[in-house]
Amino acid sequence: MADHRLAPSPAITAAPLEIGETRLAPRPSGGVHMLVLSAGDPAALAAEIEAAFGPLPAIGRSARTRSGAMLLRPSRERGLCIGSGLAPSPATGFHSLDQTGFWAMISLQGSGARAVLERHWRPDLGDVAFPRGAVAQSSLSGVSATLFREAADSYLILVPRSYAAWLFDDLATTLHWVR
Amino acid sequence: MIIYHPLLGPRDSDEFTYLGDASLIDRPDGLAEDAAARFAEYVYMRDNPAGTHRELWFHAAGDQSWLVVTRNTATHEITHVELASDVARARRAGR
Amino acid sequence: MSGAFRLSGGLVDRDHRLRFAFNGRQYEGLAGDTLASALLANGVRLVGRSFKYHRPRGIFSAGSEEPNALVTLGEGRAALPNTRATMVELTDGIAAFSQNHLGPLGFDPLAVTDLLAPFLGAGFYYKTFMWPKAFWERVYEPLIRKAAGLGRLPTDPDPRLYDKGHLHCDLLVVGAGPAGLAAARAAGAAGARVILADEGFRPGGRLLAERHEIDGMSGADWAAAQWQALAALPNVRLMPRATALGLYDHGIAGVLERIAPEARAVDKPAEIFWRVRARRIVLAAGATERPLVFPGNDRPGIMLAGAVQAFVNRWAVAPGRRVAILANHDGGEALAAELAGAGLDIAAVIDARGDPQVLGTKGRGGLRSLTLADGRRIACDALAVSGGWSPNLHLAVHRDGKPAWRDDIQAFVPGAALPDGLAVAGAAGGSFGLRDCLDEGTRAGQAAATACGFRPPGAPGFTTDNTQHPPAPFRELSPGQGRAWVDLQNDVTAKDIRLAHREGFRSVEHLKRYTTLGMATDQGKTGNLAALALMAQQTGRGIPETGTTRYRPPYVPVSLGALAGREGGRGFKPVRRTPLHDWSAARGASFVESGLWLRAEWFAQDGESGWRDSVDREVMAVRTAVGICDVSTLGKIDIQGRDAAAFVDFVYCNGFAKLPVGRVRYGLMLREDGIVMDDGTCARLGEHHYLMTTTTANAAPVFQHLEFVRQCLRPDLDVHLVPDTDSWAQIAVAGPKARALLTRLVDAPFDISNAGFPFMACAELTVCGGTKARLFRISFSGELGYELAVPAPFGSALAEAMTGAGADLGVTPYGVEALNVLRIEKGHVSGPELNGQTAPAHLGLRRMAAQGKDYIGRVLAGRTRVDGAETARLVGLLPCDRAQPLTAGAHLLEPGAPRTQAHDLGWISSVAFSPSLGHDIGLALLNDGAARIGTRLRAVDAMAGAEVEVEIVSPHFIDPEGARQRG
Repeated sequence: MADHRLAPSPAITAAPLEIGETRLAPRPSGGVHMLVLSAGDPAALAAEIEAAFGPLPAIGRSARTRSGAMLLRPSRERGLCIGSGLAPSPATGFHSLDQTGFWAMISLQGSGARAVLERHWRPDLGDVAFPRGAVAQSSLSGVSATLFREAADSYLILVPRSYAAWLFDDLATTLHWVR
Repeated sequence: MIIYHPLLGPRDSDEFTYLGDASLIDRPDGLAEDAAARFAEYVYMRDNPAGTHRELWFHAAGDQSWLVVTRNTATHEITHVELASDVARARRAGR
Repeated sequence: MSGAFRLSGGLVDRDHRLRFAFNGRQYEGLAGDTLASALLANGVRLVGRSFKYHRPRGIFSAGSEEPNALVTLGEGRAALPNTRATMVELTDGIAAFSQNHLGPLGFDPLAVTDLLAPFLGAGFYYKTFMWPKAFWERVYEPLIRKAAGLGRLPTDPDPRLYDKGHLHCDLLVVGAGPAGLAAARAAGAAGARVILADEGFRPGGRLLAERHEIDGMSGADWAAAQWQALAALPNVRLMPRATALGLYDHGIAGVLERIAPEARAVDKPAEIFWRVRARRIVLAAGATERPLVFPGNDRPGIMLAGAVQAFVNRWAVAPGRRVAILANHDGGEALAAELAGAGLDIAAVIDARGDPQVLGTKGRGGLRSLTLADGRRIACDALAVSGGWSPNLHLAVHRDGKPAWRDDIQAFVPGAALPDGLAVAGAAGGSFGLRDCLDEGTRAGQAAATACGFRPPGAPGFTTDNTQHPPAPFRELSPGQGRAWVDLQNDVTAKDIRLAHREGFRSVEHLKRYTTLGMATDQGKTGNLAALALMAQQTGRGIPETGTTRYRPPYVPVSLGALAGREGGRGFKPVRRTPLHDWSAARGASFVESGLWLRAEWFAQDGESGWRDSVDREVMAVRTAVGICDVSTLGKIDIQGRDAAAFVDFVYCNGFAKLPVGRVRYGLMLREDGIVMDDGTCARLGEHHYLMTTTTANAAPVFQHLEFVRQCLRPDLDVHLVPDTDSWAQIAVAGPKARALLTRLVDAPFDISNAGFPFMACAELTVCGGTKARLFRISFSGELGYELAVPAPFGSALAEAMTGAGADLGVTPYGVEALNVLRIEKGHVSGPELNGQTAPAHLGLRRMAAQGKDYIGRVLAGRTRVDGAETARLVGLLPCDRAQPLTAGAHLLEPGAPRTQAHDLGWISSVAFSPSLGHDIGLALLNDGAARIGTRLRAVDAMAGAEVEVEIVSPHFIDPEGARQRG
């Protein structure tokens, strides 16, 4: 019988870095769920999601759920729900997987955020190709990551936990270099 | 090289891994009488054109979808990109 | 004044003096100087020695095409050899050194090679150094190695930092001369995203070197005004000091940016290599001037006429006191007037199209005079030479384009078939009139903006001149009257080209490789046209038919560091850490790289003298008490859907359709050719829910394979896969006391007894007072074993709880070395056995292959091998003399058999010292292995020259019945 509860450890132990007006910081996770959207009838799927959480965003976009979580849709078959937990619901068009421990999150904010990202991120970061609210999966310095543009100058990077410390260090180096 | 993903738009070919000829979609029946000959053909025999080639790419750093890309092996011009699952379903329906 | 040859005016800052050193001597220059202009201002004309003949050489050009003035910039680790002095932006305190001479620059004993010139013509090394053979490695090679090369590399690591990046734009404009500036203004005004890249540190191109007026302003002022206007636009990115190195597929250009002196720091990158993806490109890269070919045309002081103009007008430097001009077009007189106006003494203006021709020059350390065919001697210390201009069309033809010849300008221009989305404007396309350049630039910028969906506003024309001086066809002056240089950097003369023709190397590609012309760091920018014109004369074929050699990136030399960016040292590849990394490090773990992962190899304790002590102790702890091992790195794939069972059954060779919920099974996954791809386990957590594990190295390839099956082979199945490796921290708990330890951690009412949770069971539960977890009863070690998984954030805490709760049980952390010993003792196959050559039958796992179902690899797994290796089987080995060590990789031969491939029976795949048994043990793939059990063979390590006699045994050394893991 055990009475020692387990305490969680953060994925990134490095301290936030702020240079000029640009800030790089780990963001603590309040819960991340992977939504597996079964391909099939898109209209039926959208209706099911709407009933369960709120509007289903278009591919590459995001939306707030009714409970205040942020629902990202990086691809046709995947959604990432950041924020609150998801109650399992009987659904045929999707199921969810608790991936709270899987994803480490890094926040990059400020006027220098684009300059940092363009050293690491391959796709177009321009306002037309990647506007506010856009989300995409691609390679960040060789690591498959999900990038979310929360606001004009604010980005959230989601990366598998095992890469997080290395990637944070790499981004911190860039922040030193571009300022 | 840029590959225009049908759902995600233009992406650098570095985001993908290449598998080979799209004929790999047409896997023979493993329980058929002539399976041995057909599988030897399926696994080992390949056309190797200098020109238009239909091939399979996996979007490893992106959405992990498989694509069938029609590319000219001499000029790298890409004329057509489609989801491999669409191609596979159409082939099955055709059988 | 800084320097005796400084004139008034120019675009230099006289209030900002800079000190620099050349060959150890101190000089003064001005801000805005290049190293070349500052040297000339101080009267330094001798800057190096030529590659082959060690001839004295001076500054030849004012730009990127410089063949002679190659210096080593800096000293020690930071030295940069072969740096063009014409491209070095002068900064305070730089030190430069001339290259390619023994002893002082002014007196180079190796110049004796110049006297041996008759024996050192093109291709001489194909005809020499042949005899005697004994001299090849002992004499010739060391001598050639010492003499060859230009500049010397530092032997210490490069201290500079580099970086890479990715940019996207609607329009990339290459070159900020008049055409490029006009194009960028036109497209920028339309709102298009524009990147304007220029090689220099000041915009304007030739406007800075020539005297023009545009709309009432000087050319230089006009250029500065355009640059300022562009800088104010948020949709325009200006990139000075950025060279477009090459054009690649699909509108991707490589641009190398050098960081401005004021922004440089020792802890920041010096260069950034950008991958620019542009929807449209305007090539406005200008043109490069060509010299003329005449005897003695390589002395210091002989320069391109456009360079003389640049030094006088832009840098206010006189290249000499008495300047002569030699041109094959009408521009000579106008240039003379311009130079005279700046205060230079003009010695003569010679028209190269007529007679008398130039016969030769005098002045070894620097030009003193030139001689004409009529006997006249003209005293001069500088000679401005012009043979016309060649468009810088490189980027337009990098992608396999062929240039086209234009007789009217005697030059190659981009061919009609341009790469998609690329347009050419200005001198790069063969237009040399300034008004034409400006108009073409504007039109190209507007067209690019329109093509990208913008509406460019109308642009007014420009008020300026359109003067042009088309050159006469190429003609060698005074042929045969003395050595005339064609390629200055590689010391190739007109005679060498005639020699190549005589010896049959007549195609332009053969000519290049036989004479080495165009193969130096300048890629023949100033010499190539004369060379192929000479060859065309020899063959009688004409220049268009002779053609050019193939143009390839990079346009100028680029350091390997810039191409690597930060992907060197620690940055070479990402590092993956397990959730238990810090916990392991705190306990003294030594880490090994396993792909991208860092894994604990062993946990050294005080008093242990080497890794064997630690590993042996860890193995015995697992065999006698309980050990814990971090196995988080193994791949995990979550598989859900109505057809999940059918999917799993299709990808494994053994049966899974009937696996009950709450059970886990070892799975063997084959490639379609029957070879084992990976092994792992698959647990059924629910009716439509499976969790598959893979080996660490194959997590990504197996996932890719499964998605291929799902999307391409079986799109009819309702199944979805989610990679879940990073979600879970997973710890193996193995040993006779494993259950005792786990009983202390699992929360009630979970029944962990042997009956309640038998061998190969799996369950979801909670541990340590509420943390959700998954428990699997599987054993890689062969002992009573479990794997306990908790969400990754709780991994460290769980490991700590285990060591705390199990202290009295002797709980021992163990690493991958001990893990490997344990599995070898049990005869479990792993990476060395799953090497891409083995099918299930070779591994003794033929029974696993199911009969009644189709699965990946079914058909070809059973086919017969041609070479007899089909009978290879997994066996175990013991050294007959137990004290002897075994070597993995050793090959197995019969006693007395010769050591040849024909007698090779197999090889040892895995070896370990077994602390349980007290000696080495091994696993091997041996032909006809089952029949050879009990016999003796020789294990031959040919590389070490060692042999060991071995006994063939069953591969299962410990508990072959498997009783321990089921108890």
